[in-house]
This record gives sequence, C-alpha cells and structure tokens, in this order.
Amino acid sequence: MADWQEQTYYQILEVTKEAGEHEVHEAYLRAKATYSTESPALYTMFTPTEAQQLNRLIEEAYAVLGNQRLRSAYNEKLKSETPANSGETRVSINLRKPSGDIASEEGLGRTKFGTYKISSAMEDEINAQTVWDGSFLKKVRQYKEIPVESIAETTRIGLSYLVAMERNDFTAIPAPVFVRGFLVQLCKILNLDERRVTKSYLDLYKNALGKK
Amino acid sequence: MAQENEITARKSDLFSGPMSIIAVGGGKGGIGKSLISSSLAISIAQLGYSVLLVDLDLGGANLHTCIGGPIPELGLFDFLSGRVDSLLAVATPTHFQRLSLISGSNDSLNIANLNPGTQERIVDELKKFPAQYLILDLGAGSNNSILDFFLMADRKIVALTPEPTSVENAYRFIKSAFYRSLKSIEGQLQIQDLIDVAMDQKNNLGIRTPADLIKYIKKSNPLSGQRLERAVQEFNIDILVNQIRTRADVDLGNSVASVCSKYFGIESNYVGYLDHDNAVWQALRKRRPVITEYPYSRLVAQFLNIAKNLVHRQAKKAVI
Repeated sequence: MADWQEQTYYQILEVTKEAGEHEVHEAYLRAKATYSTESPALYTMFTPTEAQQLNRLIEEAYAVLGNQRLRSAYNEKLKSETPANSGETRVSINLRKPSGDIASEEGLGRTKFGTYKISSAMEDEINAQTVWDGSFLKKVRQYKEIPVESIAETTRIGLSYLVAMERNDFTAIPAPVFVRGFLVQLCKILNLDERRVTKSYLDLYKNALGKK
Repeated sequence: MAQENEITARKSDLFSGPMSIIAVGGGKGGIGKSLISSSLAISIAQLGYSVLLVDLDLGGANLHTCIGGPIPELGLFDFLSGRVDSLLAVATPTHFQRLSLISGSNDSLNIANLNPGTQERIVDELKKFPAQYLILDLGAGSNNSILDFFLMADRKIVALTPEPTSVENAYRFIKSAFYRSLKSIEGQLQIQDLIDVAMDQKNNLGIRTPADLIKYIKKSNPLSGQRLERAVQEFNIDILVNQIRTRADVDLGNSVASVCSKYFGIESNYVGYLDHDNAVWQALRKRRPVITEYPYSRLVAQFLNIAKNLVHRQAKKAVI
C-alpha cells in the first residue's frame, strides 16, 4: 500500500475496482465520518491540515467514482498507466490531476448529485421560460440527470408528492404553503430562480383550486 | 526469505509448534486485555482446538483469576528461574477441555524487567509449544519486551475502548510496535539510527510519518528501502473495540483501522467489537469466566464470532 497522498481513488475510499455504486456510496460516508475534523479516530495521528487534505481527496474520489461516466474514464486512465509498473500502488499523483479535471471539463455542468452535459438550447429555454408547470420542472430535472428518488432522499419530500407535482396533479399535493417550501428546495437543487418558479407554479396551483 | 520459509515450515508441521500465535495488546491498562485473551482462549478451545494461554503481563499477572479455578502451583517464573526446564512442565490444565494455562502468578517481584536473554528463551520455547493456538496476554505500556512478544504473533490484536485516552494509547502502541519491527528487520546501524530519529516526533529531518521515513531511506539506501517496504507490507494488525455502548462506537473500529492503513501504509483489519456489559464484573467478582457464567449473553456470542474469525483464516474447517 502506498502513502495516502499517492493512492488511487479506489484506495482512498477503500473499495475494490469492482465495487458497486452503493458500496462506493457507503465507503464514502464511512470515510467522511472517519476523517471529519472532530472524529475521535484521528486523534494524535493526523493534523487538522492533513485531515482537510484527506477530506478533499475523499470528496474528489467520490465525485469521480460516484459518477458512472467519470469512473469509466478514470478506469481507462488507470489501465493505460499501470502496465509499465506492475503494482497498483505505483499509480501516482499525476494520475489524479487529469481525472480531477474531467469533473470541471468544459461542456459539463455540476449538480449536487453529479454532472450533466450542458446544452445551450436547453439553457436558453430555461432562461426564457415564463410558465413553470410540473412538466417543465421535470424536463429540467431530466436534463440535469437527477433521479427523482435522489431528490426525495435528500430533501425528505415524499416521493409521491414530487411525482404528483411534476404531473401537475394538484389534487394529490398538500396545501400551497407546503408546496412553496417544496418548490424552494427543488429550485436550490436544480439551480433555478426560486422567486420566478414558485410564483408561476403557485399561480397555476391556486387557479386550479379556484376552479373546483 | 529464509525467515519466510521458517514461518511456513512451522505452520505446516503441527507438532513442532502452534498453527497460530495470537497476541492481545493495546497500550492502555484496564481496557480488557486479560478478559479478551482469556475469553478468546476459552472460545477457541470450545471450537475444538488445543489452546495454550500465556500470561505475559509480567508483574501484573492475573489470568488465572479470569479463567477461574485455583492458583496454579507452577508458573512462568519457575521456568525462568530454572527450577523447571521446559515450558511444557509449567503449563497447567484448566477445567476447560483442551485449554491449558501458563500462569504468571507467584512471580518474583522484579520479573517485570526481563533481560533480553531470558526473553529470547521464552519466545523460542513458545514457538515450539505443542498446542494449535497460542494466546498471549500482554501487559499495559509499550516497553521493549511487551513489543517483542506482540511482534512474534501471527495475529496482532490491538484492543481499545471508545475513549480518547485509549485510542491515543492504542496508536502509540501501534507506532512503537511498527518502528520496533522495522528496526529488527534492518540490521544496519545507520538505518537503525534513522529509525530512532523518526521515532522522535520533533526530528529535524522532516520525517513525520512512516511513509516519510521509507522515502528518506530509499533515497539514501535503495536496498534497505526495498527491504523495509516489503516488511511494511507483511506487518498487519487486528483492531478490536471493547466496551461499546453506541452504534458510533462500533464504527470507531472501522475508522481506526482505516486511519492505521492510511498513516502507516499497512494492512489493518477490524476483527470485531464487544459490548459493554455489567456481566463482566459480576462474573469477575465470583472469580469465574463470563463465558460460563452468562453463556447466552450477547457478549459471549461476540467472543465466539471473533474466535471464529481468528481461526478460520488459518484453518478452513467447518465449525458449527
């Protein structure tokens, strides 16, 4: 095993190359807990600055391994550099740099959950949009490649509510005051202007209520 | 290389010595080393292997009390003083089948300071002892003879409890053991001096971690650097967390194992955890082992699990 500063992303997270998505995720959570600055396990072993470095590496590793596309690109890189020296311990720091750049490569946008390909047509459409109904929110979400389940998990909004909101099924969602809160959270994740979106969506919702 | 062959030869020939030596250490006192070693010994014996439990907590021996039963008439000291000429003769059977004990009781009051010669004699005799498993209970602290006994083991268990003091001492213990094993491998005086320098945390060569040390040695002496690197790969430890009270305490073991792997660049393995349980001191007051006093407690199940973990890596034999 090599010095941690020279470890591969797999070694940083302590997973095998064959580890599944959930294993990577669990390993990431475990590593975060271990190397958080107040972790009792670090005491007298790593200095706070080293812990910070480790934390950055862990985040970086998860950003790559947690994303299918980046992960396979990284695997290719590992494969192309290892044959020269047999041990996988030799994969050096300059490996990590180029793959780190993949994440910030041009043409890729970042969300809390991963990356997506930026399409200028779609960006223009988002900027020009005035009527924010459920189906358009869904379109934006799919464009940013965020699964609705992930949103439900992080925001703690019920999955059925999210689905109903996207379907404009106003009979199945709670009172407007709650929906406003949901929308604000959704906007944060999708990186949208919350004022525009909430006003537009709630207008639609209230109109639908009034008609009944 | 010669050393490696010696080890495999020893393992293959059952009668010339134990299959596996398990040492329980951990730096701090009062974290349950004696409880762990005695209970593991009983558990492994119950799994059907012959086990010798050795009290190497010199100057603080009390394993005979953890096992229960009378104080043995003969102990390690009788061997050391020359009254008895083999360890086999001082090993007394216990009331557990297949388990015998070398007690450290009735020792001379200055036994805690072993001279290197006697220590070597003990190590040699232990390596020849006809039992399948050897379990060494070590004392607190990290003086050289404790470290040497720890390093002679195939499975090096570091016990700790989820308290900062214990975690700190466990790390200190691992660090000391680690550097001592490097020293014993590399005979060259120059390298030995470097290791001494590295052990001083405030050295001015900028060597702070084992990785730094190996890098430094590799630069000045590539051959020793390689040898040390190989030695580091062979050095591994097992983490055992005792007295857990919460779920977070369970995860501490994973964290400590991970920190050790990253810091030293060594293999470390989380061998298991044990509940905090009042049954332990209730049993101890009756001077009986917790395993027989509370056979259906969670704690005892955990001991059995750890015992199976330790045994199964060596012998792939079905145990129910």
